[in-house]
Amino acid sequence: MLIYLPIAELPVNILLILALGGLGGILAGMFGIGGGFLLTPLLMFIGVPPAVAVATSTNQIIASSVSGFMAHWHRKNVDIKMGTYLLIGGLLGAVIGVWLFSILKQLGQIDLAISLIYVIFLGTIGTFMAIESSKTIFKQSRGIISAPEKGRFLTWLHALPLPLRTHFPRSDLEISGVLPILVGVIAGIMVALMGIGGGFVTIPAMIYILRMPTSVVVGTSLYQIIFTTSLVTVLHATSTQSVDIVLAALLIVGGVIGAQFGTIIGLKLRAEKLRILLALMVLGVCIKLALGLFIEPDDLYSIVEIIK
Amino acid sequence: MIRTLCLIILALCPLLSITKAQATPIIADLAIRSVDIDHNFDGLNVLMYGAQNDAGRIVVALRGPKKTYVVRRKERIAGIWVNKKSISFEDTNSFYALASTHQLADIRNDNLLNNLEIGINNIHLTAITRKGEPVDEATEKIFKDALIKAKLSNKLYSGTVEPVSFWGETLFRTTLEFPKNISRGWYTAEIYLFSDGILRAVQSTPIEVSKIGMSAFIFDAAHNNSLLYGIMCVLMALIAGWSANALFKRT
Repeated sequence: MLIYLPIAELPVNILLILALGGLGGILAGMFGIGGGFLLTPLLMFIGVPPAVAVATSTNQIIASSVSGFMAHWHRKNVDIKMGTYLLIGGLLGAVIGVWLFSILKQLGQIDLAISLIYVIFLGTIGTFMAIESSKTIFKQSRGIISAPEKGRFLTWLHALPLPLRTHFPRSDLEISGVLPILVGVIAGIMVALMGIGGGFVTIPAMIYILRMPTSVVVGTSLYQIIFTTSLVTVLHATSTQSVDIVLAALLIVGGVIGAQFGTIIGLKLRAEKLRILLALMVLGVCIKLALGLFIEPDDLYSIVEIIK
Repeated sequence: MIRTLCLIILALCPLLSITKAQATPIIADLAIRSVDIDHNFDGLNVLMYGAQNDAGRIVVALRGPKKTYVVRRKERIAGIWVNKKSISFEDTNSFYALASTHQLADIRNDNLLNNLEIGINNIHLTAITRKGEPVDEATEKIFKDALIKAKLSNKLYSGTVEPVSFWGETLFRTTLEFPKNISRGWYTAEIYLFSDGILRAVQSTPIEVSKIGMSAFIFDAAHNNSLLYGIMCVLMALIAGWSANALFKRT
């Protein structure tokens, strides 16, 4: 069953796209991560231009974040005030990120930039995940129950003489508002350049840098992601016309179905063993992207039509 | 430019020189004047037919709408292949195909063919840098060859000359092939009559290629109303996400 993607300008198999969206959804349901970091490269592998893959992924994340956020909202696991500070940074980062994106596109370097950022990002994440999960499996096989690690909090950041000291009642924190804004800026840039939600950055930062209670971290991050990805989608649509609504809709449908399975699988299986599988997948995608950068292309010349 | 001038002069010639009643040297038409591309468009052959009243050799050129292309060359930097040099070609035919009764060499006037941009090597392509500056000849040739090579491999330029066949003495026909990946816009089917190395007649027929259906509508919306389109994309995702939550509410 083929469908023509109007912006990617490519005929694709509907079932393949639903399956890719589904894979993202399963990951989200199992591990509570967005899956955007795998979806964007996978779309690139099937021939979707990197810029379209990034912009459309961002569009798709809006949907998964809204349904995730609503679940957390019902359980009151959202710090709206902290989320809004993150969001101010996120929106600022989004504008900077899309601006960088369109300059890189004009220079003909956007495909390279996306691949390069992904190779670095996936390489780092994949390696850490593989080490962590093999350690856990090893300890479990020896019957060692590891105590939660301490001393990883970056408390010294709270002591910095930063302005805008603010009280966040839901998280029971009194810190400088500059910290969540900065975290948001970095996340927003990553949303625009990579087509991910940015949870990979915000969630660890909220735990280790802001020291928010873990119960509110995911809901607050999703709250921020909804608005950041919405702004990035509109900005991509207006600056580079690279959002493919047909592709996004198919990915969303696949993602919704996949998330239901993912939740069930996640409840039944031990996550540690699956986590190493995920790590291998991440490293596999990373290596494939890296090969594309280093192997001499068949044709050194590429032709682009400029639409005025 | 020269080609356009030639065409204008030739179009005016009959008006100026015909003193007695005389049949047009060559006249042709197309079976259809418009091509619609929908989602399952797989290319189309359009019949061109006509009558030749004077002796000579016929050449048919089908040219696609003019576009601007950027050709980029990758170079290895620190082991990574990076787009380095880029050259623009403005006013370049997006499509080019030929048909003729003879080999082009049989026309015996290479200068004329060059002026008329007949023959894959006679297509006029002017290279400029990103800043709009001219490019040295050697570089221009390299990038021009790369552009033509890409066009040939996409079947948007044709390196071969298709036949023009005759029914009897005067009636002829040929097929103009529109491949599945053509872009939209106004195409021209030009028919030339040469004899003794001189252009005797020319006729140009426009063909409109348009995209129809949902995909074309979405593409146009994304490019012409990009803000509204972007907002629609966001709304679609917001509603989809909300419905998904409502649909699969806590089991």
